[in-house]
Amino acid sequence: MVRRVLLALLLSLVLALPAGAEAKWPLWSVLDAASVQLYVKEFGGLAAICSAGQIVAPPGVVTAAVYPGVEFYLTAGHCTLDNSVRYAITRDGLNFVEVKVLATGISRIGGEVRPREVAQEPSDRATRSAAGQQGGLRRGRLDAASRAAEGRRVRHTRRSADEDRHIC
Amino acid sequence: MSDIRVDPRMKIGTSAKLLIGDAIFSVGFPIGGDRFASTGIVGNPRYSAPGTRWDNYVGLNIQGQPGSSGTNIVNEVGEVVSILVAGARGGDNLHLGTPIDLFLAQLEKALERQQRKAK
Repeated sequence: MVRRVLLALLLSLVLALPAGAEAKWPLWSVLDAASVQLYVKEFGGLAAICSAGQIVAPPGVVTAAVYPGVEFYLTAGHCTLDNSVRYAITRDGLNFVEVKVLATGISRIGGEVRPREVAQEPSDRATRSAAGQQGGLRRGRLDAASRAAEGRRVRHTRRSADEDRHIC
Repeated sequence: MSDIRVDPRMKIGTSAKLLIGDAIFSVGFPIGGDRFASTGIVGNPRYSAPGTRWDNYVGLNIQGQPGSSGTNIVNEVGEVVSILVAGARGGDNLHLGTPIDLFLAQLEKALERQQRKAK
């Protein structure tokens, strides 16, 4: 009898656990979808420098009337110091979205997205948008493995003036 | 995870209500690699260290490396409460985040300046 009760308790625990685990799923889904990687154009290609997240425009601060159709991303201030155009890699990991610094954040330039193979060309103009990009993202040819094989470089920014911390 | 269609935007929360030990979550791109999920806790909502320039930061006990800067730190309900900006040298998971309330105040001023310039 005791064994049966214990077995029933154990089974109920096992069956109950997945339900608890699923509760966190929407949070990770949104985080995963909203997170992008920032790149800058450097000699020889693009370099990954920072992370960012797409946010709902803060109500009362940014109004749709002033910035219609603009998507907002949030990143660290030192990632946008020189106000130059940045690129954010998209959720599918294959395309680049052109972004520009807006105040202390960055915003996507409406409708303009750039596939990776185009964005990698150093001579490419920063404002150029890829052909056939209206209405959605075009899937690039490169998969994650080949991107890794290309050897993305990271620029590690450090401030020697403050030895106590490192800039992430 | 990427196959599920969700609104790819996070809501802005407040950093004023953060407490020591609050759970935090992030997805960033450390060392320039692919996305990397991490969990942690608030080490101190108003962290400072004597002899350093650290002030007005949220102390974050969460993973982070170069490339993680700008990672949006969210609370249990998915609201952005901080932005990861720096880490302690040799401090393992001791990282610093800008309080989102401070960011919002700065954003408001910056946007006003930009709008005045535009006019």
